[in-house]
Amino acid sequence: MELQLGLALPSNPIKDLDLNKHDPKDEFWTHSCCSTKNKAHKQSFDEDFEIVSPTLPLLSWNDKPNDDDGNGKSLENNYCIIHESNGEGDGIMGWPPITRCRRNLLHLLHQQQQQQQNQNGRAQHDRRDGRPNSMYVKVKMEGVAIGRKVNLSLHRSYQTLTNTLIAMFGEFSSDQGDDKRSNNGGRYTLTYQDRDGNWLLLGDIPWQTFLGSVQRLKILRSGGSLARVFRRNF
Amino acid sequence: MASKKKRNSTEGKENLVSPFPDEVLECVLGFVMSHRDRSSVSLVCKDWYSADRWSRTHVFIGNCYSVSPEILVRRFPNIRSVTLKGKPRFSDFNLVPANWGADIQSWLEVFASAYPHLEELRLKRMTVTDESLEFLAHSFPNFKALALVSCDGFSTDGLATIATYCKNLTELDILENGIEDLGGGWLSCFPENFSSLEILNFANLNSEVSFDALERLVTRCRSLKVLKANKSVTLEQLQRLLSRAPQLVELGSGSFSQDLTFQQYAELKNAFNNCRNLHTLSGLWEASSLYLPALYPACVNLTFLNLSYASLQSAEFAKLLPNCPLLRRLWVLDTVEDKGLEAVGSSCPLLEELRVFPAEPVVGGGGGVTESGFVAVSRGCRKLHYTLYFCRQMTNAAVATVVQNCPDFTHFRVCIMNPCQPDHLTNEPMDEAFGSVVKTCTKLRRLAVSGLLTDLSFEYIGRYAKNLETLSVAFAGSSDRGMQCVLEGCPKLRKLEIRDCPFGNVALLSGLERYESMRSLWMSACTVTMNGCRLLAREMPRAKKGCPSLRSHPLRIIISMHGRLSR
Repeated sequence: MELQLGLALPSNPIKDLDLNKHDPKDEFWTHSCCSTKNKAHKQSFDEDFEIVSPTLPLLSWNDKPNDDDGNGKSLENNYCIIHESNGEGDGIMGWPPITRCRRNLLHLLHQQQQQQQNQNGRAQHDRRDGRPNSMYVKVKMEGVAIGRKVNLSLHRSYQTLTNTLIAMFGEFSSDQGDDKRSNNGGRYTLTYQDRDGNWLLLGDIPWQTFLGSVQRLKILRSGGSLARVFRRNF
Repeated sequence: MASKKKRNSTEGKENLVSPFPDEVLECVLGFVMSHRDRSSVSLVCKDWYSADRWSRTHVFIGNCYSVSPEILVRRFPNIRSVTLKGKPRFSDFNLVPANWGADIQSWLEVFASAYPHLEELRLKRMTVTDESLEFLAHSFPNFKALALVSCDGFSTDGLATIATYCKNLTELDILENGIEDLGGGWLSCFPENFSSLEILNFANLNSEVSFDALERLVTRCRSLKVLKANKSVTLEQLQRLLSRAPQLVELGSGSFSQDLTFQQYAELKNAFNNCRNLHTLSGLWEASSLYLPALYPACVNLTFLNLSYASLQSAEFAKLLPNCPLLRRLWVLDTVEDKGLEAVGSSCPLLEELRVFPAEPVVGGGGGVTESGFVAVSRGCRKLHYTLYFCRQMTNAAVATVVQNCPDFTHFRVCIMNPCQPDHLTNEPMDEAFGSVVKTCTKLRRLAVSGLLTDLSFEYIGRYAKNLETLSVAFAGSSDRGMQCVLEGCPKLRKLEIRDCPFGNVALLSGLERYESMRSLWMSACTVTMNGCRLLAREMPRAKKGCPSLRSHPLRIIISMHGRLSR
């Protein structure tokens, strides 16, 4: 019998484990234990794998449209999400299991719909609530149980949007700082979630592009989750 | 009819030999179509093996590495139609590296000499180059039908060769392939006197084709039954095509949004009104709710509606459905949400198959359908037996209710898109959900599981899923025991696909007895080691080895040693 064994991907050679010494329970990560016991098994997984603990509210955001989960349920969800940080903001390779072709075509469909919406300019048709000339997105402030909705089509720039948000949520801040958008010294950080599910800082991209991509907003008390925002996206 | 001497006479056992002359036997066997039945026929006795061998005109090969083309042509000399499948299914999800294999060229070369009268070739997940297509076009003068599904390696130039040289072509079906789209010029390559086309599907190609050429083609192919255009075809153009080919039974429209004048809309509606023979409708890119009502008259006899590229909202979807009372198969995007699925439950009592695809196939996204949509469908569609359901949340109770309403499931594939997600109401694992599926649905042949699952779910599967043939598992299980339960308990298992599960060498080796009767095993990102693979290779007879995949005859075992395969 011929025996030809070789590794196709030599960049990460697997340590050759003696079958007798191999104890399955030692090394891999299990799904049923859902908290800090989960560790990436470096020998079996590509280094780029990163296990994210479930206590990150940004990444385990519960997206039920009519359900405000200010009860912190997302913090208690005992499941783990594994993300590849390959710099593209993509998820797990080959997951969800949609064929390449379908994925590409759906992406194309999205892009075309977004272009159409952007071209309409002020007449933004929000297909989700069926009202013309409106583009409502949900806004939540970290630590505040009740979320609000803001109509982005009424705004022309980040400045007016920020002012509106201050007006909406000002009562919840313990100390009303002047600069709400500062990442360094301000008390709050404004973030938004884009079409791909990534959480990004407000203000980095042109307003029109932002309108085409934004799904929802979140106001963070900076210092807490900001570091995680950076790690997730950079 | 005088009885003829048998080709393989069995002296002294004439009472056991078939009393039919060979010609009669071959004639009768000609009515046995299914390849599985044909395989059974060939195992009965030498006479029947021989009769099957000489009379078989169509052959199906589920794993192109299970037999060599030389052996195939030696056994079956009169083949006219070949169906070949190549790469493992997970290649659709980018989990198989490029240049893995499954190249059609070596097969074509053998066929060219052994089957010069070959008429049909249907390939799935094979690598096909433009050169191979050219070779095909020149080697088989009677060639009629080419279907390429999820294949890769060719470009539209290859299609141009087919169009140019296959004078008797009746079918050209290009579905979901990773091809290089160099433009739509290939369609213009059909000669002006060419008129035999019956099936044309180029829905997944992006480039614009010459509408002029398309219209002329449709006009002169009077037997055209299936036309699936791509999204470059506009509504206005669609109307013209429909008026040329009202006899269509399957239609894939192009883009379904355009600024139509009132007159144009009326003409469109009229064109659909004349297409009462349609039983399959797909396409509907960027479907605008304004124009959907034009479709209604054509939906009266629809049995298959594929809206998986139309992001419809629940309201317009709910208005469309009552026009399709005979619907049996429905594919839809989750933009219709639970409300849309409630409309399915109330409008489609004959529904047998439902596939709900995610409009945004990302982990951690929002929107889509939930367990309540699933339950709503099951309440109204009691004949449901096939489902593919992508959702972001599910509960054990909902799945139990669904299978109680629809106990005849043969294919149950639920994908909770966040890996390891538990029952969102009770926070428990989803073990009981799939437990109820296998306990209730005794006819179950295909199962795909998801969500947070412990070994218990696999114990259930092993204990109850006695007819299971295909199982897909991802991010599930607690230990080797899970996989062992399945391998020990499911006697009809043929295909097992596992990714990102804690199954290791013990589990892998526990299946040694089973692998002989299986078609393929896929394990990636599990805890199998090289040692385990070596042991397996040693124990499996007649094994051909190569890494990272172990190919064994006739079973294919693919074991990926890494977390993921590099792109």
